Amino acid sequence: MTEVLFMSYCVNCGVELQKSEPRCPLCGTEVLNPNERDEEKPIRPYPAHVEHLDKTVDRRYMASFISLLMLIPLFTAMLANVLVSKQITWSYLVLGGELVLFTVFLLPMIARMPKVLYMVIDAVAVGVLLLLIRVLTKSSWDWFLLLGLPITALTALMCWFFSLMADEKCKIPVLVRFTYALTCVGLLVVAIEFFIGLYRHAIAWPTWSLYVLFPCLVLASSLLILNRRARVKEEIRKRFYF
Amino acid sequence: MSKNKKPTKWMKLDNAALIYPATMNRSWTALFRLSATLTEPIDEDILEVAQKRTLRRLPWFAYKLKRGLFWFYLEHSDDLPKIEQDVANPCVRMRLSENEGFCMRVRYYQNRIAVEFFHVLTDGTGGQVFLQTLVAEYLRLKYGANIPRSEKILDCSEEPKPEEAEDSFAKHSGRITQTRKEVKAYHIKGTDERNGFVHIITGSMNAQDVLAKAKEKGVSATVYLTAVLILSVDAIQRRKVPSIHNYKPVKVSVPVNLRNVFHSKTLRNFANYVNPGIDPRLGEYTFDEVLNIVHHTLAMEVTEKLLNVKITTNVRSEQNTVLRLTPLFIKNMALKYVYSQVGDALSSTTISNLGVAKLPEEMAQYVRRMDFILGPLADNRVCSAALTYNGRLRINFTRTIAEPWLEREFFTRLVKLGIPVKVESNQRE
Repeated sequence: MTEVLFMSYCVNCGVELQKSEPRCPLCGTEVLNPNERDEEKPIRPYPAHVEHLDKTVDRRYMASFISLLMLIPLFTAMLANVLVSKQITWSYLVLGGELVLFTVFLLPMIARMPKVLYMVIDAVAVGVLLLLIRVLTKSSWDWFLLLGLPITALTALMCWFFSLMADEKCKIPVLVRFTYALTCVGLLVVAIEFFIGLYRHAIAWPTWSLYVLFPCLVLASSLLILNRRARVKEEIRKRFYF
Repeated sequence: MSKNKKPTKWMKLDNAALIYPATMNRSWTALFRLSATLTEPIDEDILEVAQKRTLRRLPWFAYKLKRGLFWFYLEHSDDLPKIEQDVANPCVRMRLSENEGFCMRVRYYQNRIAVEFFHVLTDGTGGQVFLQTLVAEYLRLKYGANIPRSEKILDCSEEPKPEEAEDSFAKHSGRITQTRKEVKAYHIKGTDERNGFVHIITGSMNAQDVLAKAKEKGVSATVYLTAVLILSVDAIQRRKVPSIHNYKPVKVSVPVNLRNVFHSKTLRNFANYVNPGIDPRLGEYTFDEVLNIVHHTLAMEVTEKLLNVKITTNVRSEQNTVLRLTPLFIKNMALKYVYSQVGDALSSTTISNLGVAKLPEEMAQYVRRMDFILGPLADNRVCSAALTYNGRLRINFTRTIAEPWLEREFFTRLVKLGIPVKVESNQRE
């Protein structure tokens, strides 16, 4: 037997086909060589396993693209401002607003950095926006220093804390994490009332914020108790599974 | 402790590599693959040791791609890439996060060792040095083969040489630049493959047959194959496009190894492209006419002076102060746009011929076959790569559409020209 007897050719394309080819890869014509019927199945040149692509949106690219689009309203506002007022005034607010939008929503999609850094950058962006409002409205420094900045800083701190609690690597039980988060929300509202009092030069015992704090604390305590009951905890895990 | 820690080695991307990270996305990475098929099944453990020793000699391949504020850069890693089982669709996109950040991956299947490279690291010539050194080291460890080392098969007991990592584009750039403007070429369109399946069809032929036919016409094998490819694309356009007024130029991108023109020992990217082609609106071309065009285009453009102008144009763009100071995310979008205008758009397909792989007898007795595959291109749906080893010239077509029009047209043309072709593929049963 010589090898010539076992050569298969595509009757359509005239090319010789490797023994592993069940049909011509160029035209799809099936290989029919009566001499090869009883032969062992030849090894295919590539394994059967296919590496699939999952179709996902390129978030980084989209975020970069949106960032560029944001320049259009900014330049339009600045141009309108210059044409009407002969100088840049209120359009600085558009700049500040876009800066906040960019740092809060788009930056996390574009750059990877420690969570705390995101919060710092976000807080700084909001601070810049508040500062622009103060300068452009020529209002007093009081609201900016006693109200705007402290509330911004505390909110950023709380967001950072939330992100830590939401981290997959966090080893604290989920119900305890919710307890901490609820307590945080309650305390933040109390702090906001305190700073409002400070701004009005009328610091007093918290009143309206207690309506938020107490339900938060009650709910947090309930969750803590639930956390100690393994059976209830299991039931919650089952029903809220996602 | 941390004060005594050595700073991590890093390097800038070479001039040609700059475009690739900017244009990569979640479903596409600019890859190419080199493989060697041995006489016996591959031993994964030995391959892992061989890879470790090869990476110690060629640390430039153990760099991870990182994002800077203004540019991407490469950072050395002491980790080792995992050896992987091969898959049915080679050169499918490389997700760096899954690949531990490495820009290459070593895969094996039966008797075959394959290395897939992201183009940020190297080009075909550099990749060939890596693969041959890896295989030589594997054979030494497995069979005790005493393989003589050379410039193409490096000695893993030697220290890495800095000139192997130089950016030769920067070194060989001159003063004169030229526009990159060129007419866009016809692109073959077809049915998208779902889930990113990459079709590979390999046509193997006797290298002497091709060389003899090329000599008959007084041209090189690369010119001969390029002319056949141009006529194949031309035939497809004439079938698919109804009006002659809508015909676009048919051009084939032919990579040129600049090491043959400029003196360089770099193992990083050092290649450029020439796009010979025809304008089908002017009428039908004979084979001899196309051979003539390709032969003279290559002869005219592959000269030290003209290649220097091309290199300088690219290096000058990189040195532009505005571009350098532009944040990376904006720069990426600009580079993506530039690539869409002057990248794949200028050619209908690619044929990258790495030439003849010559191995010393001590190594060749264990190596049955060698292949070169280009990964899918960004815009062009079909491309090809050729490598000759052991008297067989293998042309691998890579395709991301369902229809094998170009491969069929190309291989049947070769058969009609009197060159017998044997084909195999990764088609699903």
